[in-house]
Amino acid sequence: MFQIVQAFGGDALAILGAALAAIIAGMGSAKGVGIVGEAAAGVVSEDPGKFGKVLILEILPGTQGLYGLLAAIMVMGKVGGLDLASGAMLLFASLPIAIVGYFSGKSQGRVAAAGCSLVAKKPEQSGKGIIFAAMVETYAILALLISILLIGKVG
Amino acid sequence: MNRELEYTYAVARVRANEQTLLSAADIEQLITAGDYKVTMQKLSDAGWGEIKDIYNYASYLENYFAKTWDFLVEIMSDIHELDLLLVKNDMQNLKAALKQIVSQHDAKDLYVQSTVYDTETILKAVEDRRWNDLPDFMQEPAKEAYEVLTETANGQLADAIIDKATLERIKFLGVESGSPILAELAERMCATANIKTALRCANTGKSKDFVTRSLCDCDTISKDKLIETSLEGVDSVLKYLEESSYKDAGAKFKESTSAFEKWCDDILMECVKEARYTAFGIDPIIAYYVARDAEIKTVRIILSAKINNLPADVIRERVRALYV
Repeated sequence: MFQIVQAFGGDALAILGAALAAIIAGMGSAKGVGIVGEAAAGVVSEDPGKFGKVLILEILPGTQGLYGLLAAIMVMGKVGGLDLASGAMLLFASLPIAIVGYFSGKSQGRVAAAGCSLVAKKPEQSGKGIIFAAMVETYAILALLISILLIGKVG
Repeated sequence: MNRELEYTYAVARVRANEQTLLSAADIEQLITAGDYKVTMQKLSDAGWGEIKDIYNYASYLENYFAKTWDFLVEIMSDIHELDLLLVKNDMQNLKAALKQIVSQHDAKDLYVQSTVYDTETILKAVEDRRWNDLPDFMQEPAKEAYEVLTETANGQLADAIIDKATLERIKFLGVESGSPILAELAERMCATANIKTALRCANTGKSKDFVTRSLCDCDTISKDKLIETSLEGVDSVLKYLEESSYKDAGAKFKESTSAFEKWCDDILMECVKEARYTAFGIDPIIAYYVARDAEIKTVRIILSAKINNLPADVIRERVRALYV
C-alpha cells in the first residue's frame, strides 16, 4: 500500500478521497431514496393524485449524493502532481461529506418516508413533512461546507 | 437492513387507507340516521359496498371484512406476519373440522374465512387423524380435543382446550414479534379471555379440571388465583379482579354484560392506539386490522340495535373505542 502511495504520490490519496466522497455519500442517498420510494409507491398506489407531494419528499435524500459528487469534482480539480502531504489533506477533507452524507441520507430517507405517511393521512400537512425531512439536510450542508473549506485550503 | 423497514410500503398504504376508517362523527351520524334501511344506505354511500340483501347485514359486514383481509394479503409479502391476529380463525376452523369429523355432520357454517392455514388441509388431517400434518402449535390441542370429543363427548371442554392453545399461541407470537405494542396486545388478549372464562366458569359452576384446562398463563393476571376464585363463585372472581391490574373489569361486569364486553374490546384498542405515531414496523398494520375489526363490531351493534328499534343512547353505550 505504502509503495503504491509512493509510486503515485499525493494524487492517489486525493483520488481516493474523491472516490470516498462520491461513493459513501452516494450510498447514503441511494438508501434514503430507496426507503422513501417504497413509502411513496404505497401512497401513490392508493391515491395517484398525491404523486407530486411525495415526489418532493423522495428527492430530498438524493442531495447527499450530489454533495459528494460536488466535493469529488473539487478534489479532482486539484489532482496533478500533488505531493504526499497535499494528497493526504485532500483525502481527509473529503471525509466530512462522505461520512455525514451517508448517515444523513439514510436518516433523511426515514424521515421523508414518515412524511409520506403524513401526506397519505393529512395531505394538507405535507409542507410540515417536507420541513421535518429538510431539517436532516442541515447536517449534510454543514459537512459539505467544511469539506469545501478544507479542500480550498489545500494547494 | 433494518427489519422494520421491510414494511415501509405496507405502512404507507395502511396510512392512506386509515382515512376510510369511520370517525366518531361518522358513527354518531349512523346512530342518529333514522331507521335501519337509512343506516345501511349511509354505509353503502361511505364506500362499504353495494347492498345485495338489505336485511342480511351479517353477510354485508362479512364481505366488507373480506375486503380488509384481501387488502392485507396484497400489502404483506408474508401473510404469516399476521398470525397473531388470525390464529383464532385457524383454530376456529380446527374446532369446526373436529366437530364435523366426530359428529359426521356437515359443519360448513362453522368455518370462517381469512385464515393463514388452508382449511382443507386441516380438515383432511383431522379426518385421517394425521396430527403431524397440522401446523406444530395445533397438533397437541387437536389430538387432545379429539380424544375428549370421542371419549366423553364433552364439546365445551374440547372447545376450551382449543381456545387455550389459541391464546398460548397468541402470547408466544406477541413476545416473538419483538414489538412492545404487539406483546402488550397479546398479553391483554390473553388476560381478557382468561377473565371472561373465569367469570363464565364461576357462573356455571365448572369443575377445577375444566377451569385449569381452559385458562392460559398470563403475566398480568394470576391463573392460579383465577382458578381458585372461580371455584368459589363470581363474587370471589370480582373481588380478585379489584386487586389486580384489571380492576375496571369487575366494575364493568357489575354494570352490565355489554359494558364488560365493551371494556374488553376497548383495552385492546387503547393498546394499539400508540401505533398511530409509529412510522415503521408491523405495528401500524396490526393496529389497522384491530381498528377495522372494532369498527365492524361497532357497525354490527348499530345495525342490530336499529333492527330491534333500540334508542340511540343504548347504542352509544355499546359503541367501541375507535382508532382514529
